[in-house]
Amino acid sequence: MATYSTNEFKSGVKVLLDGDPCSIIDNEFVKPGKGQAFNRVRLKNLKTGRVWERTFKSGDTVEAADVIDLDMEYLYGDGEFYHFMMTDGSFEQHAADPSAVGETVKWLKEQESYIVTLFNGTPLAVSPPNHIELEVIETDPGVKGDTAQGGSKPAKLSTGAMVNVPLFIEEGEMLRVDTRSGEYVSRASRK
Amino acid sequence: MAEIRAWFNKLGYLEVEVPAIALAPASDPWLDSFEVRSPGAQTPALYLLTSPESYLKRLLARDGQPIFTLARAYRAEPRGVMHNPEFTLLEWYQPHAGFAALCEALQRFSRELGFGQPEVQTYRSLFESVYGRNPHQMTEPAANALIRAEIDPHWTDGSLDLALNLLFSTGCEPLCDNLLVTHFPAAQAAMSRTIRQDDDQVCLRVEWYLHGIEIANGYDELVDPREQRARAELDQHRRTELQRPAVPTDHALLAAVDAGLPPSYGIALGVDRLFCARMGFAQLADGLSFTDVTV
Repeated sequence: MATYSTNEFKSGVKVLLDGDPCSIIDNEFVKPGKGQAFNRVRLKNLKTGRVWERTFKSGDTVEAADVIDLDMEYLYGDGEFYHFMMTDGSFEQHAADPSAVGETVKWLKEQESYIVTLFNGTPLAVSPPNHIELEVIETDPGVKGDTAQGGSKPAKLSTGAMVNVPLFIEEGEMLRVDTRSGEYVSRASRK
Repeated sequence: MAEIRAWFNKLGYLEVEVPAIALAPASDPWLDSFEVRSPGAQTPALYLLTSPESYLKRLLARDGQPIFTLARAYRAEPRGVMHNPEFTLLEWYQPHAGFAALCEALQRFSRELGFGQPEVQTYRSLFESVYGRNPHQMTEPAANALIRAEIDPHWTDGSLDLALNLLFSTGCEPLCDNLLVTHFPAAQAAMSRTIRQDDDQVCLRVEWYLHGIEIANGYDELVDPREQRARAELDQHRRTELQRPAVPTDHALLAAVDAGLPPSYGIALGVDRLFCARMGFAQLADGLSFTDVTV
């Protein structure tokens, strides 16, 4: 069984804590100068997304988590699972349940590439690309000649996501959206 | 550095230089020294010193006069926010002076360097103000339970010593701004004298903190040869217990203490940390020109 010692802890290392896979955010080595040192570690629980703070004695070991990030293309949803396919030419498919997809569900677009995190071979989390191009399927009619002024209105995108867009945007247009902030970036070239 | 030298020259301290390499390293079971070897040699390893303490005490025993040094010190441990494997220590010794003079010296140093007059507080009173418990009367299970209650519910039991260190450095140290903390638990005596005070076993150790960071630590030095020998043996014994590498005994230091050290205080001060405090840097690396080496 692979383990990591506290002196191998660094950002991005995946360990198993209380049975949950966690990614180390940072690791502070503290040596009081009198006796054993310890490490203050912040970890992100990859299952729940919660951030944990733990204190370890220096030299303690923790089991490594079998976690890998892979590029996959989204194929389709069957109402229960979301299906992804490896883009490395193997065409290997993985089915992610709604809890693994989480918030990313509103950015799921067929044939788009996602990072799927596998834990013991099962999808644990799905991250969207930072920017994605989606079609507006519902919004109030555009206001002509108001391109310079501020002002925005809600628009519903093809994936179901709601974003605030400038007043001149029309239904059927393709938009570039930042998935991290959920904000409109620009118009995209029409498909 | 120039300011420090000028100050000690004014006070009549003799500046000395001592080797960075020695036959025996510090015996403290939690201090790791770099080993030094000549290529291909079959002779035992030499050690890069974790502090100039041993050499300075030998000079003190021989000459009995106030001395200081600005020395490079080396510790084989990972880099931390306030740790670097190689650093500069200012260390000075004042013979025929006790604990009160030790605290006074640190206060004068702080004023001289422009940090103002530090307050003085005992370890116990600081610990009590944070946790409401007397640290010197705590048992190992109680200290570990306190960590689980106050710091990390998942903490797995450690020794009493480790538990107190964790409690103190997490809850108390961040509050220490220009503060002298005195009378540490006897288990943390290192090379300081221990005394009994109000039923508590404490040591005559003082630490100077700036912005929550330990800058200096001073001892009312242990000068009793029998106690010195006993602590060296205890350290070796604990190394075996902890399955950490055994190290040669520092016979030259023991001989110096046998020959008679005057009652003295000694202070070790991290110059890199002092520089960071002066410049307002949040981490040691900000004050270093090079950070290539990691352990």
